[in-house]
Amino acid sequence: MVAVPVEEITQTPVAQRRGVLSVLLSNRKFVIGMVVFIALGATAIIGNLTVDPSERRTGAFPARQPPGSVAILGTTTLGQSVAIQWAQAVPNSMQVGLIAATLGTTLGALIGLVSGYFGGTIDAALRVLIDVFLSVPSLLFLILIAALLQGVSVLTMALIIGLFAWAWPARAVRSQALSLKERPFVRVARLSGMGGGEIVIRELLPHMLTWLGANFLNAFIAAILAESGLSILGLGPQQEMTLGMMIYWALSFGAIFQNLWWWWLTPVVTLIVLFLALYLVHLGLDEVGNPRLRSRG
Amino acid sequence: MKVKKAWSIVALLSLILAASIAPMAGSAQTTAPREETFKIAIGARIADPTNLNLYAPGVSRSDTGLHQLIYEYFFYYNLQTGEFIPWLAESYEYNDDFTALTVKLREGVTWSDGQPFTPDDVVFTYDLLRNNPGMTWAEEANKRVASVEKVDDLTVRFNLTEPNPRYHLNREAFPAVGIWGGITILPKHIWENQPDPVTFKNSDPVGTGPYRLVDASQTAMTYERRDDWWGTKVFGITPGPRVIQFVHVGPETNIALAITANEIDVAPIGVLTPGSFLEVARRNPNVRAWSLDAPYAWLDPCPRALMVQNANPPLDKPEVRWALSYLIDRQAIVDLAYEGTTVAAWGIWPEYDGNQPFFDAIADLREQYPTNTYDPARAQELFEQAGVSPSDLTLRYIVDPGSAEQMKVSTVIADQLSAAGIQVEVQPLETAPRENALRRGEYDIYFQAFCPGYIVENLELFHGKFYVPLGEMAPWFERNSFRYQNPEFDAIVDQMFQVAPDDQQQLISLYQQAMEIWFRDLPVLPMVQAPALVPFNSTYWEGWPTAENAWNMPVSWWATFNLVLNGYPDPETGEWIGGLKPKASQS
Amino acid sequence: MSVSWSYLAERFVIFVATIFISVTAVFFVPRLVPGDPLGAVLATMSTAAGGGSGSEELVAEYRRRFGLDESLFQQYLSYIRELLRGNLGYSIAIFPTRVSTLLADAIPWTVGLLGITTVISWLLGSLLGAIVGWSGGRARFLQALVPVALILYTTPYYILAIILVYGLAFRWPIFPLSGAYSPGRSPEWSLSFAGDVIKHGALPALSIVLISLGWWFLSMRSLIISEQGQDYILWAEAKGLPRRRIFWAYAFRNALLPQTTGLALSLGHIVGGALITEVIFAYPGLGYLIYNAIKGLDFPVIQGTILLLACSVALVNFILDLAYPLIDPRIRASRT
Repeated sequence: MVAVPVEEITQTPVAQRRGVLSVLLSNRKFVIGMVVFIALGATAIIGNLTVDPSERRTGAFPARQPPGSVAILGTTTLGQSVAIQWAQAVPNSMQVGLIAATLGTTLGALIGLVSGYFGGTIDAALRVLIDVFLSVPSLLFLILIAALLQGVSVLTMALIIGLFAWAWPARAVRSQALSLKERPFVRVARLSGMGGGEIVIRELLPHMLTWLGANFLNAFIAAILAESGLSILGLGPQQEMTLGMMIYWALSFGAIFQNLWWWWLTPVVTLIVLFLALYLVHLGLDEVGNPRLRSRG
Repeated sequence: MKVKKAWSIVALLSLILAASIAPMAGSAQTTAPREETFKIAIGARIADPTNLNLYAPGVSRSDTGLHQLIYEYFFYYNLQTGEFIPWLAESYEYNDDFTALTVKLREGVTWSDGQPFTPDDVVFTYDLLRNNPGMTWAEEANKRVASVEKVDDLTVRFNLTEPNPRYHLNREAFPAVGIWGGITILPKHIWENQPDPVTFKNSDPVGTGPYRLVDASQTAMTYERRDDWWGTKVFGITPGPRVIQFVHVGPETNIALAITANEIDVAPIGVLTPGSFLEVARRNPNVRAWSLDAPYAWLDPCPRALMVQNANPPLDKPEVRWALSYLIDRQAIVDLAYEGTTVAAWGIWPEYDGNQPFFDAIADLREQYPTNTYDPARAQELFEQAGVSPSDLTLRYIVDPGSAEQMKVSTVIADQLSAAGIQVEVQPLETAPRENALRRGEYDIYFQAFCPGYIVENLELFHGKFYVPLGEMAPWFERNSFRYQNPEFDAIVDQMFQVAPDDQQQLISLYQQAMEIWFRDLPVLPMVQAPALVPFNSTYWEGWPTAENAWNMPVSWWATFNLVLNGYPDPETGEWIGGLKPKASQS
Repeated sequence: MSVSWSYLAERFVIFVATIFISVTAVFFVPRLVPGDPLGAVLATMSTAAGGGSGSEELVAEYRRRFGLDESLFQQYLSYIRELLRGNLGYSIAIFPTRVSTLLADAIPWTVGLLGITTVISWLLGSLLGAIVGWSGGRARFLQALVPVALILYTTPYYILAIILVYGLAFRWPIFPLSGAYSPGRSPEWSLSFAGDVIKHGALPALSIVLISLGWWFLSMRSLIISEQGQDYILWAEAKGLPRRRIFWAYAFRNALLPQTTGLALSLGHIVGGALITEVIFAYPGLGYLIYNAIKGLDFPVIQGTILLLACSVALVNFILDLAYPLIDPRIRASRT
């Protein structure tokens, strides 16, 4: 469910990308998704800044209040404001996505480029490794590691998730590097005496940036998904608030039976809206990169 | 692809889907009418219902019903009333120097396969534990008991390793239970043929108890009343329910709904959180707990205290521990974390009537040392006296993520301490690493139940004989993993263990001396009484112990449930007390 | 037989490597984590055995029983040897039950739930997606399915599961809240038990079907849309073939291959997502088993479950890899 289809890498040389931003901004899906995403993040961050630290404490509000004048999104059984928790959770969840996606995409691009460009035994070994990681259900190993570490922070969680997110980009980048390295401009670079590392970074990488951007978005979604999944299992960062942890606390304190719907519904709705917004952005990127989709879809 | 074929597969699968979505009429299978069945919720699925060896590590005896319905004990200790009730045994007697205990067994007790219950079974069980140190409970029994001999067909003698006038209260070494459960006597004729008693599954258990197991699955253990139970012949009583079922209906929400819908009669401690209990009681007026008003819960014998690592400076200073105590608002913990279902505690003993003379004797000490007072200003003074700045303190607070109680309490305590500028690092650890860290002393604070809650035994927890240096494994969490050391205190406790339990005057005066030191040093911070919130649904059954009818402890998960079910003969008069009965309006 | 041998050899190497790496990782990861979690478990066990005070001798006794008193390499070798014999060892939390017994109890539930829901959602999603994609803008009613599928696709399994539990089991109690059959029943071959199982499986199944349906729908739709622009379709249209026939015989058939590839690739994710769904519904399959094992740090069970899942996903992938050349002639020569 994380695997947004790996479209053929759109080959957009740097020179032709000048108009991309304006094309993107005229894409309705991209704009709507982006606006919702930014609005979510901004509301949470601003909310976080305006909250007095004493209001975060247990018992700062009367317990189990429905949304209303006391607390805009209601309160928990421990007398905490759901809205204040939400404002902490959204940036933390986004942070997990950001770190994991950056790590996974960078690692993936690096491994893919090395494997594809240098070929030979390195390639053979890396390809097996990539295929192995693709066919193993990564959530299982995330579960194993999180269970062993006993109490992760938002940062460690993001790093672990990122370490399992490189296989997809690596595979795509590798096959791209394979086809690019036989192109004339790479040959020219090689003849002019550029080293292997330099060619990879200066000649190959720029051609994949757009695609890597789209992949970054996928990895971002996947990381938040993994975070909330692990958290619901009780393996999340217990001392920090994320959207997954909000659900975990609500469920483990019996919010469903006690009919404190505002408690669990807030993170649930936020996650749905967040994923939808990100997917719209992704679709927008896809349409811009692949015009056939735009005209037909 | 053949289009037609594809379509027919699709059609078939849609049918399956439709069938799976269509609600089907429920067809719950019961072996007896509901009003003849007593149903007990359990909090977890039974991982392996074929393994009913209660001496194998990890086998739950409470959730399976093993130690309530299959096995029985020599004596049952009713903590609520202070009675020590003879059951499989009739009486006990120490020799003069308390190095041997002679027990007279009851005549007419038989195992469920008809074999008589004899001293041979008792001797065999202790030998088995000695030969198999891998069996649960083996260690304490082997440490306390040198040998067990058969004196005659109804008499058995326990030779102790050292003088011990309290041996008959030690459930880990003597088959008498108050709290939860204890050493269990096994039928020799069944177990003597097992090559490895640790891996023997005992799937068809033979016991002396009033019920026999008729069905065991991961979600339910079903028991049926035995017509040939020895108690029926000896006491002339028959337990009320024809069938007793321990059922796992799912997570908390399911259990709450099942009790509301009268599908469950009782749920053990820790299954329903206070909020859910209040919601259930609101929806179904037949559901109640111990008392009808706050705090609703029965007091569990193990009060909660915050363990403080005495070996970690600056927590080694009594002033610092007292300062921490003044920073914690117990009422906030009661209101927020327990939602009003318990009360603050000044010490580490349950407020049972039997303990009251002890508490009265230290009334002035309790006034002098206000252990449950919230007073941040006083805390500040004490910190200054000790030369400690709270903002330089970082406390490692370990919690059990599986315990909703601990998680809630930790949030409140961490908030209160950090309000005073102390850094609190809450670290949730699952069972195994938590036990490792706690016993090695790798914590600053931990919220712990202090068991078994008896006056003398709870003081013993602070004894220097359990002290081990940081990094080594302390015997247990509350058994001095907080590394308190005071030889003067140890001497008093040692003395208490040499006093026979019926010499209360002597014990009380020693208790006063011990508490003088304990309060001054405050090795741990008393927090709250432990609420045992046990919802009972009175739709089908009556006679369950409550605050107004406090004849027994309201427990379904302890071995003493046997006596809640049957009632028992008054140890003084022999008059029959209590027992579960079908609701009058039902029969 | 024109299937390339080097292709087969390569897939086989990857299959073996996947299993080997999983087996090795599952063995070493718990031993690399600081704090000796295995030792901690044994300490706990011996504590349980001592009734409140574990001792070093008891820890040694359990170390011996679990073979932890040997060198790491020796342990690894005997671990591999036992695995080859199909012996996954004992559960620590419910000693002396064997891990294989626990797995055997759990497998039918997961395979049943996952197998049925995956097939249903894949077929239904592909079909609906193809029809909607083919009809283009002509059927407004069908186009309305697109945003619905989008929302479903972006919702995680367990989020929908929570919403379904609240709506259809709590607020309007049509279905049971959890479990795979009524408490107190034992699995048996009877019609009433089957009905009970279906009733209990409906909500977990529904949550998995709806979510994965969204994905198969969207991907099939976009596949069909791109097929529509292909030369051979235009050629068939020009030849005057009925649209219906073009759809079934050409477009749908051609799109089916990448859709099958997608199924193979997402298998790992489906398994992962379904595990959490099982936990929410307390469904006694592998997900619930591993969840409980994690809570009790029951490493033999955690390892056994992960191994089983990783190996079966690898096996299915391997079989699909072998099947591709038979479906798609282009792969017979080479595969990128």
